[in-house]
Amino acid sequence: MSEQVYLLLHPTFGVLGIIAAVWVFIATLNVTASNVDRIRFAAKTSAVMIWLAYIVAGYFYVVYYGGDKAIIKAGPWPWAHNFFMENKEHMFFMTLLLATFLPIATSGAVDKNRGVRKVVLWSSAFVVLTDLAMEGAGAVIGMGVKVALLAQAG
Amino acid sequence: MTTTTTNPAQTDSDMVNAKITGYGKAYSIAVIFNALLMMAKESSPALLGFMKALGHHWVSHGAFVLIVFFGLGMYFSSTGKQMSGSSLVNWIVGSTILGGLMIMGWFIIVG
Repeated sequence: MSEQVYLLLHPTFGVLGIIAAVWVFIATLNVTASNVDRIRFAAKTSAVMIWLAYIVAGYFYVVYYGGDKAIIKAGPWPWAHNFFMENKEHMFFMTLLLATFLPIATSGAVDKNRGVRKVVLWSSAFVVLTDLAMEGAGAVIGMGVKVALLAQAG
Repeated sequence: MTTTTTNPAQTDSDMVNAKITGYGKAYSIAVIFNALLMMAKESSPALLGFMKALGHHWVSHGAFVLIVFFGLGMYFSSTGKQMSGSSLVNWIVGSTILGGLMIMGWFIIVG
């Protein structure tokens, strides 16, 4: 696969992880005995998508990102790497762990236990918020490369 | 924080089971560990060199964080201790905000 394919797959898996986490959140707000299985399926889907985003991003970061980093740091937006990428590469672990925790949290009695519901609601909400932050940071990093290349082209 | 080793009824209870409690606490600790490891790595060329020697430093970083999460999650789950959902939410929300601020603060102030 080309470098660009990894760059497209990473945010795609991230967005699918967000959508699944929103599904968990909404379904938990309206939980009944009949939709518990769907909540658990959505939680597992979110976790799988975030793990795929992690693996794809990890491969891109290790193999290809060095070149982009040099371009960004030489361009007019060096903070796209120095702040946004540095934050993203470390904060992503929060999203990954929360998404991994989500299926564990939904394994409890979501429909019968209000403690489990609270944990599921807050965990899914933070998967959404932290993953949205990752998507935003990724967009800034991409723009960092773009403005640097535009500056090089004059 | 409310912990107990008793076995409260699952129905209409605020108590969550030992597995959720264990992995929820493990998440909170792993998130803070993640931020502290980042600070230590950025401050110590020796640690950064060690992590690079194991592979890419970011891959090593992720492996350490995942080991802490799964290791502590299995350990805490095995103790059988349970916690109220409200307390566990405090752990999760508090550690997420604190861990995020630690990382962001580092790159604002030091990085």
